[in-house]
Amino acid sequence: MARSSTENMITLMSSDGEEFMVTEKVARECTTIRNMLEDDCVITNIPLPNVTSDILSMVIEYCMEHVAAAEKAAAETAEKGSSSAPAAAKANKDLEEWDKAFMNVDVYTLCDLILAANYLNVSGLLDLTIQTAANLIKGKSPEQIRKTFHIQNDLSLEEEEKIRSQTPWAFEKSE
Amino acid sequence: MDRISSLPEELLIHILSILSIKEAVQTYLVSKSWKGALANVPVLKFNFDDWVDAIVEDDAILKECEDKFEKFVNGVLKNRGCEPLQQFEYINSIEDYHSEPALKFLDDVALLKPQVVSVKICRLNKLDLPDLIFSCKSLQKLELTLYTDEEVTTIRPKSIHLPSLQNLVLRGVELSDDDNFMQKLSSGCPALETLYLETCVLDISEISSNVLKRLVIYECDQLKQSRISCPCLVSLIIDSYGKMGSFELKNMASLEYASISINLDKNHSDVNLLSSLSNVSQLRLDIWDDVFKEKLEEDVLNCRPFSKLKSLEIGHWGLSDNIDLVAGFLKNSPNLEELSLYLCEEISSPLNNFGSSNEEDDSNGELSEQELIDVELSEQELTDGELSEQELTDGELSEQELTDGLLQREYLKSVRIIQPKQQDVVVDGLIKKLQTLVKTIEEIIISSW
Repeated sequence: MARSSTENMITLMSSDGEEFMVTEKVARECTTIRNMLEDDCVITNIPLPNVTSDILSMVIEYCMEHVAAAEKAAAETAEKGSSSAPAAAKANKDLEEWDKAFMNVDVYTLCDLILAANYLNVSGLLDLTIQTAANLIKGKSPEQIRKTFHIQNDLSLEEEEKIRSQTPWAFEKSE
Repeated sequence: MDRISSLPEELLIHILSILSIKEAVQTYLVSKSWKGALANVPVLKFNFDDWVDAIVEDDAILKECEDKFEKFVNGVLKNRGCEPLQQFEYINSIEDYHSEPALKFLDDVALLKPQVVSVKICRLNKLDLPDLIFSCKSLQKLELTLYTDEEVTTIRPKSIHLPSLQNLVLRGVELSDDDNFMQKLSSGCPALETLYLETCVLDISEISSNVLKRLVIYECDQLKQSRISCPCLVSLIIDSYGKMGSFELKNMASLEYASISINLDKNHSDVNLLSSLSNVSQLRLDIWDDVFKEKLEEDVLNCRPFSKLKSLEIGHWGLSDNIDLVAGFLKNSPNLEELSLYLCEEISSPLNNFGSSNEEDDSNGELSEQELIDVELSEQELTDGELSEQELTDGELSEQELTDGLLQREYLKSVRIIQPKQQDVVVDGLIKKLQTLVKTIEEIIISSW
C-alpha cells in the first residue's frame, strides 16, 4: 500500500508469528506503537504478543482505511484551498458506512477487537467497537443479552432468585 | 468463560456507561462479572422523564411512575460498588405535576464519594434537604436547582464541611442570615472558587470569602443590602433586572472582570459601586434605569482612577447622546483601549441636557431634526469654548469641568457601537460627541446585533 518508496515501513508481528508490513503512518494510528516509535526511532520490527493474526489484519485494515480517508480530505483541501462542506460531509458519511460494514462481525471477533483496540490504543476503533457492543445490549432482557453474547450463566437459580428479589425495581416493566 | 465477560472490568464499565442506567441494570442478571461492573459505572444519571411514557397528565399514573422511579434510584444506589462516583445527576421535573419527593437518597449519594452532584427538582412546595451532602469530603461540584411554586426552599444545613468543593451552583433557593448559611459556607469550603446564584432569594448581609474567584448573581431577589467582600475575586457578574437593592463591594483588589446590571433602589443609592471596581481590566455596565445611570455618572468622577481598565462595555444604552458617563470613564481610565456601546431598542431615559422637554413623548426613540440641531449647536459651543454662565451652571455636571479633563485624552484604539436596528441619526450624534472627547479614535465599528 506504500505510495512512495521513501516512506518508512514497519513490520508488525502477531502472536502466532505472522508478519504484517505497514507504512509508519498506518502504524502510528495505534498510540501504543506511536509511543514505541517515539521512544526508539530506529525500531522497524514490533512483536505484538497479545494480538492474533486475524485480529491484527482487521486492525490494520481499519487504520489503513482511516489514514486514506484523512489523506484524501487533506489533498482536497490543499487542491481547492478549502474543502467544500458537502464533499466533506459525504466523505464522513462514506467513512461511517465503511465503519458500519466493518462492524458486521460475530460477537467473538467483536470482543477480540475491543481488546486489541484497547491494547494498541486505537481510540477510534475502541469507541466504534464499544458502541457496537452497547447497541447489542440496548433494549434486551438479561436472557437475550446472554444469548447474544453466548454468555454462560454463572449464577445459580438461587442466586438469580436472590438478585431478582433484592432488585425488583430493576426488572419491573415501567408500563 | 465467554469472551465478553472476560473483558477487563474497565472495558465492561465503558460499554455499560454508554447505555442509560435503565438499560444497563438489565445486565445485573447476566452474570457475576456484569453485576460487578455495573456496580462501578462512574456516572449515574436519573431522569424521571425516562419513566413517563409520552404525555401522561393523570396525576395518579404519574405518582405510580414516580414510585417506581424512586425505588429504582434507591435500588441502584444501594447496590453501588466501592469505586468513587464521578458524577450523580437527578432530574425530577415534570410540568404541572406536583408531589413530595423524598430527598433521602441524597444521603446515600453522599456516602458514595461523589465528585459532582447535581439535583434538579420542580415542585409546588418547599423541600427538605438532608444534611449529609453538605459534609461530603469528595464533593467538587454541587448543583442544586430546587424550583418551588408556593414557598421557597431555604438551605439550612446544620453544618457545612466540604473541603474539596470548588464549584457551588444554587437555583431557586433562599439563603438567610438566620441560618448563618454564608458564614458556614465560607468557613466550611476552603477550596470554593466559583459561586453561582440564580433566581435565589438573598436574605443575607454579607458574602465574604478569602478564596472565592468567581461570583455570579443572576436574577436574584435581594431582601437586604449585602456586602461582598472577597479579596481573591477575579470575576464578578451581578445581573438582576428589577427586585434588587444593592451591593457594597469591599476588598476587590484581585478583580479583573466585572459585569454589573442592577436596578438600583433609590434608598440604597449611597453605595459607591465604581470605586470598588477600580482594579478591573474589563468592565461591563448595563444601564436599565435612570437612578443607576445618574449614580454612575456621579461616581465616575469621584472614584479612584481605573488605571488597568482596557475594555469598557456599556449595555442598554438608552439612545441618549448624553455621554457624561462615557466622558467620565475616558477621563478616569488612562489605559482604556476599547469602548463598546450597545444601544437598546426602546428609549429608557429622557435625553437630558440636550433638546426640549417634550422628548419623553418621542416614543420612537429617534432624535428629531430639531434635537439634532440642538446637539450640534451644543457641540459647537463646547469645542469653541464659548459657554455662557447659564450653560455652565445648567447641567448636573459642569460642562467646563468635563471638557477640561476630556480634551486631554489623545487616543482611543477602538469604539464599537452595536445597534438593534438602523439608527444612523443617534449613532452619528454619538460619534460626533465622542470625537470631541478624544482626538484620535483609531477605528470606529458600527454593527448590528
